Amino acid sequence: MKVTLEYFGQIGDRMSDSPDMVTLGEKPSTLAALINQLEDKLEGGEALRDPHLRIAINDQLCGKQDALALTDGDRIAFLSPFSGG
Amino acid sequence: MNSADILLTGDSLDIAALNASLPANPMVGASATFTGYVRAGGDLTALELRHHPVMTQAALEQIAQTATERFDLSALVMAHRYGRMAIGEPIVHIAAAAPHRRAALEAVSFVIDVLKTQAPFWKREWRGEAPHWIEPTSEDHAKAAQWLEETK
Repeated sequence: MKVTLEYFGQIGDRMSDSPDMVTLGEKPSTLAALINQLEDKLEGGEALRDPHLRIAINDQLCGKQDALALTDGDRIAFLSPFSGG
Repeated sequence: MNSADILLTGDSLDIAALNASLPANPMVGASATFTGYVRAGGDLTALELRHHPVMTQAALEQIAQTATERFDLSALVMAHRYGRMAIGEPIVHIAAAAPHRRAALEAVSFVIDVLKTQAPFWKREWRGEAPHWIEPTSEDHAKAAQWLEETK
């Protein structure tokens, strides 16, 4: 299953050398399982463990405890803490 | 009828035009506004705001809906810049109209406090040619949390 990775804010600088798409092995059923896979596949992937990051699937924010139902082609966004205004 | 207008733009904000866009309504007894500007500091040369192509607009709409319902507003205008801004340029403008002053004043406080940590924007200061990411402060989080806790 291929997914697209997106980065917004400071995390984009940390992951600037990472590919935009990755192929996941076993389908992750939790965010923790997803991050475990990405950490193994991506250089500097340990940055994705930052507890302050928010994660969105196809532009919808995910709760840390939400069950994941990823499908091929989904977009997974990692969002650094917001700082508007 | 209550209404909320949201402007997310890369162009300069025209504060007078935004205030004038509050619809005339004989039931309005008060309006309140807030404008945030790029503040000079040290060797700061510019401020850059980035946004999400979908989620930022959606978050602003959600905040506007919550504020309109919570404070029973007659009208609300929210405008937020993205892109690169020079010192002195407005970043964000909020205007709220309500039957009574307390609702208008509190709505403006609510929107700016919640927006700072709940709307997907990312801020970078430029000092010379070096950008520096800005993260929300603990006070920013506390102000938003205070409002959101009261909403529950």
